[in-house]
Amino acid sequence: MKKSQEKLIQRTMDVQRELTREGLTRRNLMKLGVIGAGSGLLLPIPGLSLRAAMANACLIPGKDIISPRVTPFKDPFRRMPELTPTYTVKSSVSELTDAMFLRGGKPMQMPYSAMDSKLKLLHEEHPEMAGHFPIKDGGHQAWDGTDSTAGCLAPPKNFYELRAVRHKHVWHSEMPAGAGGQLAWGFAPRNWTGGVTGVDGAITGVPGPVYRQKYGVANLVRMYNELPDTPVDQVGELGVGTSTICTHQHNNHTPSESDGGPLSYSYPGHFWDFHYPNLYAGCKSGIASPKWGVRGDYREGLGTLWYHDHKHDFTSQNVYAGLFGACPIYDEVDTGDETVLGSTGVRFPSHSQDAGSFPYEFDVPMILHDRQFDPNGVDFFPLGCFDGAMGDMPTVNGTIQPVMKVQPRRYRFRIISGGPSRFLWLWLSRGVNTATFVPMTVIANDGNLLPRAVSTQSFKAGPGERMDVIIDFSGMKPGTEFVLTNRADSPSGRGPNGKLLPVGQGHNFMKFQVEAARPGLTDNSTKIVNRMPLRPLPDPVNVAGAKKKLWVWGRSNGAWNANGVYFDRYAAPYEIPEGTAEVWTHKNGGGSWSHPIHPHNEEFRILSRKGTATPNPTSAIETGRKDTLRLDPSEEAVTAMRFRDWKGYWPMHCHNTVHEDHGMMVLFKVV
Amino acid sequence: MNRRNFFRAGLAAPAAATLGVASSVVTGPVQAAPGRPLSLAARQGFLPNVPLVTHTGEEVRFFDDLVGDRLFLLNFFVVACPEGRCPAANATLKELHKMFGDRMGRDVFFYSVTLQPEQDTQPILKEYAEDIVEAGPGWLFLTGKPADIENLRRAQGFTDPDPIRDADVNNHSSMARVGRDSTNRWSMAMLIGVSARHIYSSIKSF
Repeated sequence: MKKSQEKLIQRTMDVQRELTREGLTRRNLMKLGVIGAGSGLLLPIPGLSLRAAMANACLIPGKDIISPRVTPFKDPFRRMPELTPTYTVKSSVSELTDAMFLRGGKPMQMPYSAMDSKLKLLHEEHPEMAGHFPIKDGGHQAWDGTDSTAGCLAPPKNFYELRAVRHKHVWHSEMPAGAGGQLAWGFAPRNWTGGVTGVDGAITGVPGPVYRQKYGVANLVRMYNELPDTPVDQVGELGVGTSTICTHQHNNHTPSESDGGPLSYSYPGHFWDFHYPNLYAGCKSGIASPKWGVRGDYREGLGTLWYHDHKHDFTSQNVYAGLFGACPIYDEVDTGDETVLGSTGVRFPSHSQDAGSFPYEFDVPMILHDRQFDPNGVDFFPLGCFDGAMGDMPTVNGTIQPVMKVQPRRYRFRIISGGPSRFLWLWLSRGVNTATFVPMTVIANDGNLLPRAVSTQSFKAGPGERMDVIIDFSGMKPGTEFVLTNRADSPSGRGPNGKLLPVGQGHNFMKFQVEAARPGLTDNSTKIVNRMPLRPLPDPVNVAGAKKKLWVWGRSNGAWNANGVYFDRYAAPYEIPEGTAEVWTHKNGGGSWSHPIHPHNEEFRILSRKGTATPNPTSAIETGRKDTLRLDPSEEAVTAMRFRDWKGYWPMHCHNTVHEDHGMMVLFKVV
Repeated sequence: MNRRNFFRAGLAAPAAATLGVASSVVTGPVQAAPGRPLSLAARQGFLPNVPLVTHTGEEVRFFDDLVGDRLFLLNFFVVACPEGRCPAANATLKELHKMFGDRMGRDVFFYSVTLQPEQDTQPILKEYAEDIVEAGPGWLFLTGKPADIENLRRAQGFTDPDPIRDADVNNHSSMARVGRDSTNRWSMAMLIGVSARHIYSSIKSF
């Protein structure tokens, strides 16, 4: 060994010895100058030791690891089952009693029901949750246990029950390990009365059922955690996930205790009651003239919401395991019934009036995500890759490259970019792998109806983003085919490189196949053309008077961070007074990765973008309200956001959920 | 000479040669414990059964002897630690050790694996662990053949996608793998800049 190396070892041993003697606390480390405030490290020691310069542990899907070949566009497109309320309040919320809903003799705790004694219990057992929810307020902020409806109070009207369950899921009928299905997690209706059942008697739960919400009708959604507490019998099948779950409704404007954020644990055998007041943002702060009896600013109306797991450290794994579903919300602008004209003069596709029709047949949520399988066809999650989890198998609603038979009329597709890490740049080609691209009409970004519709040939959507598009199949001959393809070139989980994949080399998510019109088929929906007004924008934030804040999204010490800090539930949160607005600049701390940044609570507007990013070809799509901001490499964007109505903790994080799970999340507190 | 030039000048060769020396890279399948099927993580190459040597001189294999059904934290370090980050990580581990109390050495273990096995030999690790860090029960410092350690490091994802940065030991990750194979719980914990309380709350019931 060289003398200099010996010296170095001696010196660091001395430092370490002194630290051990003094007590290895952060304070002492800082005093000794070993570390600085935050995570900054002092005491630089020069020298370079070369270890083998080998490839990154992140396998490149389709190259380093290849899923077994399966026939594309063979399995049918899976529609999510519609979830109906277990109970609808007739006259008073006092009808919602404990005895009504407890079944099967399973002891359940009620973290956020109106029952204070049980509320206390969960937090006594699990002190790690304490401090993050307004316990002293008795649980639900927007429901005081009575029928009061002042301000933002909204007693629940519909009671839904969902179960997080373990079941067998078939990702593709030809996937070797999946012939009889392979173990997955998902959501199932409590009141299911038919259909295929898997292990535990659950209906196939990937994705979970869709529940349709309405502004002015508050919901109480009880999520039973029926995942296995001791997963011994699943060893060798589902290799990832945690059965401690947090179900987030992305991105309803809800009280913090119903947000389902990263610390809203529900343990196996327990449940969590989520209260969704379904009032517009601004319900508390005096929007003068509520529309159609719903408090708040109707211009803040949301639309395509989805629910998915959000447990810190495990979001990517748990969503990958199957814990996701959709729950759109309607109002008098977006009525959910194409025979009923919306208040801004638009009928959005929902259902026909013919005999073959069923509710919402033409209003279709679809969750896109990519998966990887090992050569045996068994689910593969890249546990050793912190850049992102990528797969070579595009899926829609839990099926690899499905085919959907469509009627020759207009459809509304609610395209949910489900990640975990892949960025989408979607095109619709006429036929498979052709260069004939068909225009689509984007009507909503992140679920929010745009001020004006945008007709486009393609659009981008990072993980977590949603785009509602109208695709018009009317007049198409039976047998005409269209393919939804992702042409974003993403060499790794860090994000796309800005390039477009050549025609024919995109990732084909699904095929639409036009059928002959069935007898009596009608289409009452509006033919939405480019720039047609949909929902007006709220008043802009007073930028000059707003507090400014910079968020830098970066990488350090092998992990991801926000302003140099990694996620820590005990770190002092950034505080924001309720009822105020702030202007936040989000800066991408690196030149080779992308981050979709998602603050919970309210929507924001993008004021400006700068940097070296490829210009978004469809920037008109970003003129509306957003809840997820795609930050391309080296990019910087200024946003304005209000923090109204509720108090408590919300997270903001990267929606490349692998980044989120490795530090890239902060909590902010509205006080 | 800056790092990039240093690398380009071909000085990577010694490291590559070192890599070639070791012959004990385990490429074959790992064996399941009696009565228990092999986990998906083990089958998919996430838990290589590499031979290692503990600071007390015991020869062990990663999967067979260290994974078991234990809750473990696995991190990488060097004794001559660049930029003080190993002492900082050790500080967090010391706090966690206290929090786990008598679970340490029973069902909870910490494994700190050196990235400079040729310098950090077993006697040096023994001194480091016992006299300097004063690591308590259940906290093992491990060395081994460079290629074996490289194998483990890569399988567990302690790499940087930039090969220059990846080759720089000064740039090593300060995260720890947290896992329990028997329950399929796998996450990572950042050992610097994050409170031990947060890590403990997050992992104690894996």
